[in-house]
Amino acid sequence: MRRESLRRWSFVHEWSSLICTPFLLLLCLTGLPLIFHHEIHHLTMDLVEPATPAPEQPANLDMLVANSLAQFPGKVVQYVTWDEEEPNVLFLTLNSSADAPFPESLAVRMDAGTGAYLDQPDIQSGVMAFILQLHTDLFAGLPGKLFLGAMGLLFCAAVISGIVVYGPSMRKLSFGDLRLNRIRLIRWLDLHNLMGILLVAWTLVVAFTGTVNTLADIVLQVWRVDQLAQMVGEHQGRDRPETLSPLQTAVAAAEQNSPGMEPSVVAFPGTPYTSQSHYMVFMKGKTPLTARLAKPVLIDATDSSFTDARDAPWYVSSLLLSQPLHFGDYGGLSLKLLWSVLDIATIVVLISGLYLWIGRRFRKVTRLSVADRRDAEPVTAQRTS
Amino acid sequence: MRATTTYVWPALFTLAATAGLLLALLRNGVLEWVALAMIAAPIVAFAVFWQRARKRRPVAGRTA
Repeated sequence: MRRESLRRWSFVHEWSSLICTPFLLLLCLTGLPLIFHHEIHHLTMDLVEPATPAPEQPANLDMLVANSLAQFPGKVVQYVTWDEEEPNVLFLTLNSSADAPFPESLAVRMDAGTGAYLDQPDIQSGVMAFILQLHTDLFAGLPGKLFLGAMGLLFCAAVISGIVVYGPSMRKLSFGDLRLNRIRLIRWLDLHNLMGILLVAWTLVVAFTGTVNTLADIVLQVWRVDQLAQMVGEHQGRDRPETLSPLQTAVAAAEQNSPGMEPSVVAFPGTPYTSQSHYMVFMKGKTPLTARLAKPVLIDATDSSFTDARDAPWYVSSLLLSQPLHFGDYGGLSLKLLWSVLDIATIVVLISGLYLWIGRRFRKVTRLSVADRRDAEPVTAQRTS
Repeated sequence: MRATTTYVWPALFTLAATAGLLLALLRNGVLEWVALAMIAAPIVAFAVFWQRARKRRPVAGRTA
């Protein structure tokens, strides 16, 4: 590689890393407990378990909705969610009105088998909610999300430029050489190089999918004006019905029009995911991969008749597929444990990179031997062939 | 030869981890464990190299 070219790549690696490292450290540290958020919720919250054994027939959805509203008079249902990790529980999102903002909502757990109210875990406050918001938007809403997305892209640039400068910096060493008998700066340099190059795939995948996730709000807006508007079509502008048609028949109509699929979320009329007069039933496949995708089915909330169904557009599917690859929640507890080890290893790479930069800038080089000084220098300061 | 080991091993680990991450999406019996092993390969490799380097380190003092 030409010296000038190497100098440019080294510059990109140094500065893209330096700018994103504080935020990446924050993301890695906050991401660590979030990997186990489900387990932490179960350990820290006194959750009521659904009846066992679960009845063969699931409870009627309208009875279930009525039972939840009886617990919270004056509230309306925004969403009904089937949770893959808790198949015997249905989550209902209640709020003061259909279009009220999500942070004001209540998450209610209902027994999917008996239809009984279980509990209302407080997921909007507490340590985990604080960590989640810090991780997703730095408490700055959409600008915070987009800023973190930009940091994710910078991190991708740091990883790619790191791959480029890795080769020249390793020209005197074999793969996996760790010079533990040398000064600390060289030991950290070898650790940084080896760990960094081994983690390339994971860090790139998690950083890129994290960046895609920061675009979720924008993707939703685009989907609303694109596919949702087409699906609602001539029904646009209709008012919300005084009385909603039975949810059970609405879901049955969606199932009938999507053979081999099952419901994952129902958005009630007036919420951002549907029109004022329709239920939107998001259907999912039954295989591990298709279960991550969603097919929106529009059901008329006046008579539960089928209105329209489409496959989700590519940008929605990309977002949905990027989520498991970022969260590491698609392979059970073993994958979550692996995700946490890789997360900690990334923290080590980030800290070692920072240490190398500080060490090279501020270390008194006169105290080093000639060999240590040469080997601890950045690759651009060394002789290249 | 050195250039080969410098680039080939990282490329192999990167390919294995990428394939593992995608394969795990299928959650398919034995394949799932193969996928997990592929994702874990970089961590195992690091542990092996670290152990090897520790064993080679001279007991008394450090050399320049």
